[in-house]
Amino acid sequence: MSRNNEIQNILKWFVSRLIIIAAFLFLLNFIYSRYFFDADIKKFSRVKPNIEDAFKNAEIVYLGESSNTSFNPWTDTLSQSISDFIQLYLPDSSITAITHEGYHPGLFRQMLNLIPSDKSKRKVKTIILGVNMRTCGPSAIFSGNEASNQREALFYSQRPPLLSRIFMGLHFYDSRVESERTRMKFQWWRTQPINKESFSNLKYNTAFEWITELDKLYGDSIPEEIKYMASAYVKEFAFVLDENNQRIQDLKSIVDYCNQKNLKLLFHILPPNRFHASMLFSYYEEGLIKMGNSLTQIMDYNYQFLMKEFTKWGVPVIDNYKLESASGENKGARFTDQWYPTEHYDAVIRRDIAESISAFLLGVDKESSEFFLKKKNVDFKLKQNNFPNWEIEMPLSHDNIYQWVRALTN
Amino acid sequence: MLFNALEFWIFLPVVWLLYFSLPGKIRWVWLLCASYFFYGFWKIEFAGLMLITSIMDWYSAKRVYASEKIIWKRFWMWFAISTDLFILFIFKYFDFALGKSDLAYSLYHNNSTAWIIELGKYTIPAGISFYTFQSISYVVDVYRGDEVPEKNPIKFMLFVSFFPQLVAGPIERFGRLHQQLFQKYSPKLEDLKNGGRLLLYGLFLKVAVADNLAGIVDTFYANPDNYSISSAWLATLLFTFQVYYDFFGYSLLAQGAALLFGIKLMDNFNKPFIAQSVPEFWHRWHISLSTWFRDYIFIPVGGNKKGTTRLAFGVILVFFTSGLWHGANSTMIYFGLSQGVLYLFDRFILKKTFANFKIGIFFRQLKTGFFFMMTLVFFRSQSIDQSTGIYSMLFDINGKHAKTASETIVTTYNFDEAGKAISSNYGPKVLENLSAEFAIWLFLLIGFLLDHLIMKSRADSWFASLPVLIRWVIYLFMLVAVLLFGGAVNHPFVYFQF
Repeated sequence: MSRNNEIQNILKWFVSRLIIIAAFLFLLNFIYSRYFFDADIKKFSRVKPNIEDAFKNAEIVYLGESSNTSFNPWTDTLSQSISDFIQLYLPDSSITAITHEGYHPGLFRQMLNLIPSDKSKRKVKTIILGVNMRTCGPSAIFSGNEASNQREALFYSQRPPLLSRIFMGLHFYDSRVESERTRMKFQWWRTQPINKESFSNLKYNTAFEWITELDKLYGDSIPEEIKYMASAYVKEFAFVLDENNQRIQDLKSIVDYCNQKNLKLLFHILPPNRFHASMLFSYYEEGLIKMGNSLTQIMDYNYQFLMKEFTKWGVPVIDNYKLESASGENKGARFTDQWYPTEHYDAVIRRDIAESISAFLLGVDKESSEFFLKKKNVDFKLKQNNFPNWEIEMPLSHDNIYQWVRALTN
Repeated sequence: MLFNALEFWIFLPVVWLLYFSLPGKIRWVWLLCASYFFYGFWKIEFAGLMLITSIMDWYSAKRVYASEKIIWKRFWMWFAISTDLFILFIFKYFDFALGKSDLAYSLYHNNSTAWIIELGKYTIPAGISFYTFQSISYVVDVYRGDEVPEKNPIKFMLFVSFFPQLVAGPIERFGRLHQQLFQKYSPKLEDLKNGGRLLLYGLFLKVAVADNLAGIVDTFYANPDNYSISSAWLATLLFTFQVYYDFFGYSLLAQGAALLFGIKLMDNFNKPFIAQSVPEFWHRWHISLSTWFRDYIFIPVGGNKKGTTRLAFGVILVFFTSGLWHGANSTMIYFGLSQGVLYLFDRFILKKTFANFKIGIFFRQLKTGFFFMMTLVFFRSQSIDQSTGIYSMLFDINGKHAKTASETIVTTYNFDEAGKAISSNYGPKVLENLSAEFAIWLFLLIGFLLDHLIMKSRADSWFASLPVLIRWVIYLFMLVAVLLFGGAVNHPFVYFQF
């Protein structure tokens, strides 16, 4: 048989099989959508129905991570999440939250794909997105949960269901294994510069240098919890934001998408535990603790960068970065996690954040008399079923940190 | 790029189409570019590493061949072997060897060396052991006068990097593969059909069988103490099938992909679970590695012609090296050594003791499979502590698990609880409904039946002999299994990390 004949045979064979397989896939998509898709959603993307429901039936959708629902079992006499509190202030609007530990702007962007294109089939008008600074850092970007998150997000799409299933089975998503992500995280800490000319007192060029130095500095006299805590704060906050940061690009993409869909978008910046961050790197002098700025100046730089970007994009921002109830003197005690940096707040901070968002949505000043009446009304509702005590604080880390600073500088 | 990733199924047809669109003389250049792209897709640095190994070995082999004095021949051969092993050591064993020493600390805190430690600790260059061994065999073959060295270094680079067998074998010999890579070849429909069958069959075994089993096994190994004895036995048994179908599936995919280019790779497996003894098992399991060890270690140290002591030494050396080859972890060394001990036990004690007893073939097969399954506990465990914990659990050595054993036979409930308890990284959420996951068990059964009960030929040849309608029913069944029931979690090929 000549070469040309063989090639013709191959072509015939190939095209006929391709047609059979294409027809089969078409049929399979129908069968899969009808009989298997819902079961797969329950197994692999359980939140999807809630997201769809939120966009269809709620006027305001609150997107966030664990900060929304971070109930503090030690101190909270109230269990309301930030979005629950907002609902109390805005009883005439329907508000639904899509929040979960480890969620981030990249996932939120994919969730927005589930908003029905047909305006008559959706009720959502406003999206509130909590911006957590740490989500832009290496610990969150290279989190071990990311493959699982991305697998869930495969189903946040309008593509034919079979295609999503194929993408999952053949790992057509960011499915890098945990060890590779860990390597990338260490590489980031080791290589990404954290020093800026504008920073004062910062001796280190990378987070890795800083952590290494901490090891030497602490010696054996410092409690293990404090060592671990300081190292964790450096790992979580010692990074410098720029436009190439993946999360910044995701946030920009959310802004573009909402503009395109005519949705009102609102960012609110979550307060980090700035008090503990400054305490950990402070020094003791003549009987006084001097607050340190080696880490907080990086945090402040990133905050300013976020504000600058958000202003440039024209997106309204509620600035809670230095919220008094979370950042003021000794306010680190209002955070649920005392030995690790998280944005898990007690009810005081959650309510405070909710007030700033609600006031913005109502178009009134948070300190105005009009809003004061709202507050009274909410107080009344809260007292109907609870006996809130707003004074309880976490007593754990303050004394330890003070002792440590004294020990270090003496 | 992995064979079970969608990117590969776009890459393969594109490479194939362009390959046959190009003039015959330069096709190999395209194949080389494609192979380096395939490998560099993970990390470009890895491709650089392979390039260094290729060039060093090409040059050394050339010098081996050109040298007239035996001492120089030996020098260049050992030069190649030691540089290859040095690179392998640095990127695969360095971190393990250093442990938590001061040297490890100072190297990690030096920017120029830290990246090597990071790679060794978290991301070993894919398939580095495979291509290193393949390249070493070339230099030794030239030294022995079995092969004439390749004059063109670029052509030699293709021998080392040919993408279908690059990351997990089969470890081919120069004499077999090199000639095929440069032969004059026109595409043949028969090769295309056979290659396609191998690809589908391999993908079915990997994605539908092995990946689904991996979810169950990983769940158990993430927290073995939570489970009953029966669950431990089930996980141990399923891991045996997982590792087999994972690697067998990979080998079929490699053979299928190579066949599309007219290249026949060697069989890496030959129904290992019908082996009646441990020595026979190793003639049927990972054949390319077993024969490599036979030719380049076992025979040079004496083989089986210099008495029992020498043979025993050779066997233990081979299995120790094999264990080390599998991974930079003490568990792998134990895996290798335990195989070596069982090999000798089976050959010298069991065989002689029961020489006059007529034991059924099935029981001998069962015994061999059982031995292998037991040693795989080392293979799968993260540490020796975990291995010993699982062995004591399997045989209930400390009596701790006796109660749960009577309470819980192997039910899916145990795994279900684990699915909820552990991070979703470790196991697919499918575990939560394992009892409903009839498909997993069905695929395993079909995989085993196809592989071990259709004895005369391999399943893909058997498919070809069936009437067209039945054949297509099987193909479409496999396609559905891959597309609708493929494992949800990304489990890179088990052997990919070696």
